[in-house]
Amino acid sequence: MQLSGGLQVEQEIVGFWTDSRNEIIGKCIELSAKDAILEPDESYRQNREQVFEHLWSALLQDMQSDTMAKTGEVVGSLSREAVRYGRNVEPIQRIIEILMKSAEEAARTKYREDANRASRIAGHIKEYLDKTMIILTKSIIRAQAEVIEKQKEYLLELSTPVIPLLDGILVLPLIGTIDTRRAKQIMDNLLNGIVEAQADTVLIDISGVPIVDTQVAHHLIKTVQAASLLGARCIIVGIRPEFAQTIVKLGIDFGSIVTKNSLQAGLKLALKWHNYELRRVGGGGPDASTGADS
Amino acid sequence: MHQQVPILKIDDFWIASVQGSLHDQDVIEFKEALLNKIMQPKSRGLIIDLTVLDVVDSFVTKTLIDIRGLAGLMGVPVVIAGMSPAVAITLVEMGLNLEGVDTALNLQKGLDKLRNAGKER
Repeated sequence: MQLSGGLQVEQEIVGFWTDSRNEIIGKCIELSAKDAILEPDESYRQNREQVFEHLWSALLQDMQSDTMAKTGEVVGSLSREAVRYGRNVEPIQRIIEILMKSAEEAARTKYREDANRASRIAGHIKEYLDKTMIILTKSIIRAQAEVIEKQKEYLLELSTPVIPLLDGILVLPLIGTIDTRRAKQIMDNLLNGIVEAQADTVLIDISGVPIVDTQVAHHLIKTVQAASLLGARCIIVGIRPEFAQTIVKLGIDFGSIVTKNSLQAGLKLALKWHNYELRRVGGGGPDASTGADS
Repeated sequence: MHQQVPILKIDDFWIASVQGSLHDQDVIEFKEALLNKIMQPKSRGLIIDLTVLDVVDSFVTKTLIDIRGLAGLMGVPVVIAGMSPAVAITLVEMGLNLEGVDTALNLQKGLDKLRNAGKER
């Protein structure tokens, strides 16, 4: 009994949804033109009608099949797009609300004589509204998580460049806090860089690392040891007073690791190791004709 | 299943190129063979090339440190050349840092290092 009753209601809403398509979409356009959130928003002005129709047909399919798969797809792609381009997600919520409101109004107009039937359909629409909203929330959270994950990857790539400076000399500028994950990445990048460039000297610049604790120092020492196993010598440069104090206070043994206060000092030492000599040819300051200062 | 490590001579330098991972017994035999070679007069240095080696265990590491010590007693400097990043990371993670062992990026640089060490003497 109940099953057939349920089926009948399903039939009813599907029938209504199909029959009143033009009324619903028309009402949507009308409502959204006056809407305080949707109207000033640029992103859906051009294709607003299309979005409504998309959502409408997705809901129709889902009503027929009694799942929320198609709606999930449409809402998911809308919210993913919005999150990826850093747009507000409120308009999407508004679009769903307007669609449901239009549908409800269309139902009330259509079944003006049959109050029972009108409220039954309104109840149904309400149900779908709730389901769609939950899907929207879920997909926004998922889209944001995806973006955060992507950004983490980009950050890791950005943050560990290994720069070949001269034949056999690499520079590894470290910027930002170093955690275990980054330290591993740094070590991997550096060792591969050493092998690739066949470099025997590495300048590790830590002046951009804000906090140096035992953990960071430990990672640094490990990186230097691994590099020396490959046959490359490291010079740690950019040691600030706070860093030196922390190291002494914590009693960390930097042992045989070569350290210098600035990149310049480190570079001078590296050049000496490689039997390079840095000297000025010709007169005083930078010469405009060589393009040195342009 | 016997793993032989070729030990070659260039000028007065011995070069041992380890091919693939070694079992404990192989490692012991390798060490004996090496020491016998460098006992010969006119040995000015030893290079152990690990370019193709991608797995190292603690026993191999200990043996490398041993070889370095023993060869040092005989007055023969040792250079380990061509260690791969993966092996270096493993050693550091295990807390084994081959203390006092000289390293070089490749065979050529290892040879240069030994030649320079010979000149300083």
